[in-house]
Amino acid sequence: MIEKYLMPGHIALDVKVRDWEDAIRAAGRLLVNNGRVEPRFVDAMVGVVRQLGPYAVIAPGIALPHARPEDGVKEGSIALVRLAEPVAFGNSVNDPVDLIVVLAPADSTSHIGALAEIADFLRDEDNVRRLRSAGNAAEVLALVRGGETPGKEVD
Amino acid sequence: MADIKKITCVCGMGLGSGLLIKMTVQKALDRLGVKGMAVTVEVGDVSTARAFGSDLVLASPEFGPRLQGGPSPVVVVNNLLSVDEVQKKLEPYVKKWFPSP
Repeated sequence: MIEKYLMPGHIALDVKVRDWEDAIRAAGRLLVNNGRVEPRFVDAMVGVVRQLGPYAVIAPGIALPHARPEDGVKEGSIALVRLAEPVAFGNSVNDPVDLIVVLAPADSTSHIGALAEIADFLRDEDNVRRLRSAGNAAEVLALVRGGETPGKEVD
Repeated sequence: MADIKKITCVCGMGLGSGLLIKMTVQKALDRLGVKGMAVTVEVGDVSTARAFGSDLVLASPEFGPRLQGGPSPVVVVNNLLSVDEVQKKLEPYVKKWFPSP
């Protein structure tokens, strides 16, 4: 499933941003430009973080902002941005963030599968290390597509 | 007969962090040797977690404090992807619920 969600145009590395909002918008923009979400989806993601706080920072350095299908998702998709410089999201434990993974769910069912795949991929610290040192989007894609092994327990 | 224990994983929006915690909890329970039917793991929002009696509530740091002092014990999870962390935090509860003979 990840192959359909994370397309080459959805990945950007070494992006310079001003702050956490800028970071989310940079990642969301990739999906807008590729016709996967409406611009209001990006506003919705920023709104959720404003409202709920830095809940999106799920692990050290990794943020997974998202919003709901009805917030303007056209096609289920994932974007991945690696920041040139990490930024603070306000999460005392997991800040600063250098990896933003945006999940735009098409509906609540397919969302669960995509989330599980991303979670298992990011759970593997080797994958995260290689994400942080990847030289280009093609490498990231190969890593993500090659990295998923159903049923593999890594820890 | 031991009753089924319920763990509620809390998120803010209904789509995100609760589900992530749930996935990690299920892996942690496997590691702790908990049999499939002994514990149910659900995802809820802050109000659900208060309303329905849970044996344990897990939440990320944003929501943990709001839930403290409610009817169920609350465990805060910092790294929602870390099976190690969740396993360590669940262990005392699992030991209490299912004491070894």
